[in-house]
Amino acid sequence: MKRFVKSLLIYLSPILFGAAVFELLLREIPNDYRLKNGILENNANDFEVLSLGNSTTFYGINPKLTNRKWFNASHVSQTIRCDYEILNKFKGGLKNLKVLTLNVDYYTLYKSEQEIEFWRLKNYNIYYGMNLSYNPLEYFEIFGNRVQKNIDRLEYYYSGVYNTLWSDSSGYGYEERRQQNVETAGLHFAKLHSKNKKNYPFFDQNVEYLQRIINISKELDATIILYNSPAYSSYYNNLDANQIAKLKRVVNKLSIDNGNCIYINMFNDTSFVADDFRDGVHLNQKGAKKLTSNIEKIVADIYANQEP
Amino acid sequence: MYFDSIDFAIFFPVVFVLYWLLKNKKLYYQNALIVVSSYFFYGCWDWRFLILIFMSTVVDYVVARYLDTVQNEKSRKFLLIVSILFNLSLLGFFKYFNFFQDNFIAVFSLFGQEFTPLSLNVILPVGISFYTFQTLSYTIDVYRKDVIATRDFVSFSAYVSFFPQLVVGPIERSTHLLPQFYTKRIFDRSRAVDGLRQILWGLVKKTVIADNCAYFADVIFANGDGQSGSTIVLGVFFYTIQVYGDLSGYSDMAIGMAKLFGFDLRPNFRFPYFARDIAEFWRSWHMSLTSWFRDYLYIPLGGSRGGILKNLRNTFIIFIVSGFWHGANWTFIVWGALNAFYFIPLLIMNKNRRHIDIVASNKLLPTFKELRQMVTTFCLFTFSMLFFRAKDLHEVFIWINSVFSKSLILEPHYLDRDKSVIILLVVCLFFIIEWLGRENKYAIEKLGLKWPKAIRHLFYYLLTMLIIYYSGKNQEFIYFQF
Repeated sequence: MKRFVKSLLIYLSPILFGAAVFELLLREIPNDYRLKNGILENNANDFEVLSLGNSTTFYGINPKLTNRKWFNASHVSQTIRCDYEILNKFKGGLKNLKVLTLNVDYYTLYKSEQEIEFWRLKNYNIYYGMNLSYNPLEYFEIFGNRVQKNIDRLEYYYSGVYNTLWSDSSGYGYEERRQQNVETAGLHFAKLHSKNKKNYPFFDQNVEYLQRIINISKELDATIILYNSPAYSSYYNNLDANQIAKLKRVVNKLSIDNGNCIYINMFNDTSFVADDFRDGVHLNQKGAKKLTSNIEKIVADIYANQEP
Repeated sequence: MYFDSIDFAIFFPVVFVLYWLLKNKKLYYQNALIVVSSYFFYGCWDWRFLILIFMSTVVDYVVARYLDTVQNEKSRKFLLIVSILFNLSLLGFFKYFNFFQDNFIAVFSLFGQEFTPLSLNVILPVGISFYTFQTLSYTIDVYRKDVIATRDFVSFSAYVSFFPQLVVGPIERSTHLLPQFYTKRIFDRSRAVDGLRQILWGLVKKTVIADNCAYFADVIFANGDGQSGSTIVLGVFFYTIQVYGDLSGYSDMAIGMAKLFGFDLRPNFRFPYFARDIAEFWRSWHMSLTSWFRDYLYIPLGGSRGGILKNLRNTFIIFIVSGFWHGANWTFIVWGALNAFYFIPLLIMNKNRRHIDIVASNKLLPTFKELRQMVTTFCLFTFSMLFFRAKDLHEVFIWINSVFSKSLILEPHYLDRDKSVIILLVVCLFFIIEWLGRENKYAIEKLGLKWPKAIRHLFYYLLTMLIIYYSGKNQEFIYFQF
């Protein structure tokens, strides 16, 4: 028995060693999570406006278009729980925060990270140093993707073929991705985001996280802007009307119940046209300019009201 | 928790080490550990279904105990019926409720009767078809007095829930597996190494062969309606390889793991894609299930006794039931019937036991005739797999129309076609290895044993690297749904 286990360990040792090296190499690849964590750890004190949210904020809010001390801390597929965890982690450093923005979209209150690209959870555990998972495997890069994909990532990075960072120093997702047909892509996303729409197991939990975010912004004496991101008609018109109504009702109530909370509905804002979208849900750079400008106006009003 | 997941890669060594640490204690502790770890393993899917497996264990344990003590034939029959009804009710409710309801409504709607379906969201418990058959076989064996009812509840629970073969088999018999729980297991290094080798080959089948073929089969059948005949043929080829890699890979892993615990499980596959006719194919494909149907259905129905007509009827019944066992859908029933139609001519001509030896035994290559027979058998089975794959009969007829059209000679078109060439080459290499090892229990059982140690280890490392390279995103085992 002992001999068997010993032989097996000897056989496995090169594989385990290789896996450790692989993990280290993967962690060396620059990524948005490490970048944003680093910026927030070192400069949280500088920021007066902070944007949280998912890909619609990541590609939709460009702080560099404003003159404000503004940072976009969103990530693609970031859940409301992760928004809360980021805010909670850095609240001690956000001493000058005046405004917090958060997009609350169609699926925001209905999904958890177990449903939305759960493999991203490891990024928060590894690069933000959070403990969001019970599963120890979700603390490793090598288990986050298929081995083939991880090899591709290493190849892309070390050969310099692709940029592995998608956001700039303001946190905006500047990496312009392929323009798609907004009609078909909008419909595709509507179907994707409406999956299991009759089952809302995470709704209450997500509303709870939203309330916690509002509470932290109160602690920081900051105003929170909750907004529904603009969406193209091919997306918006194919969503479940009840789900949208429920979402609006809940967010509206939160804004009424909490004095520091402003709610803006831009879901079907007609000032955003096909030309502003990359795929019916996500804005392109032109659309991001419009959205940033819209939010900036509200921020300016808040600043104006706060001045003595 | 899948066998090819990281979770299982942690779970299994822990159980293995604990199990052998208990080797000097009473047998009871080792068996109890198997029960606890098996329940944990099963509970990882859905802990609620543990109640089902526990109930099934208790009912069959109690019924068998009574069967052993009661002498009155009527009472014994009654007890047997209780067990059969209980197990089949579980299976019927969880697996076939929606099927029967839908068909009931469809039939009555023909006569103008409308029924509102009961909207029960019945989730199929993983492996229910496997463990209910295993417990059923125990009660039937006790009824037949082939085995004495056990008084050791822990051993019986371990027999029912033994995790290596719990969810996808091989379906074990009480006469074979249960006595192994009563005897002391001694660690045998060469047997353990053999087990590891079989697990390695099982993982190759699953992660390298089945998962990659699954990707292309899914790509093709996702848009199956608009595909050319040639693309459909390629799709069903990938699917046929996938199913073999999936189930036989799982069986190899199960048998290999059992060897590591000192158990011997029945073989489940014997290179079925090298079969020279459909009778030989069914003797080497999912053997534990086909032999179950033979012993507990075909023979009680009369088997081959009573003339050719009765034999044909019985054969037809087991193929239909076998099809239905695979899934609650008409497609599976037609799949079973189609295989019966392949088989029955051999039975009538008394040629169903023509090929009981190993193909091209002691030769490197088959004869042209053997090759033709193997290709024909493979093509027949592959064709039947269109029914196995389709979601309904309408879909399969669209595919068949496409296959038997001019588009059969067009170049196949599907996503990532270039990548599939690599996979096809890997599949070819895989079948070469399978061919070389066809006289053994599994392909690499003896392959390379006479090679220099360094070369042999290099070969194992190469297989391990292939498994790692293709691992990561688990493709569900097809047979979990059965």
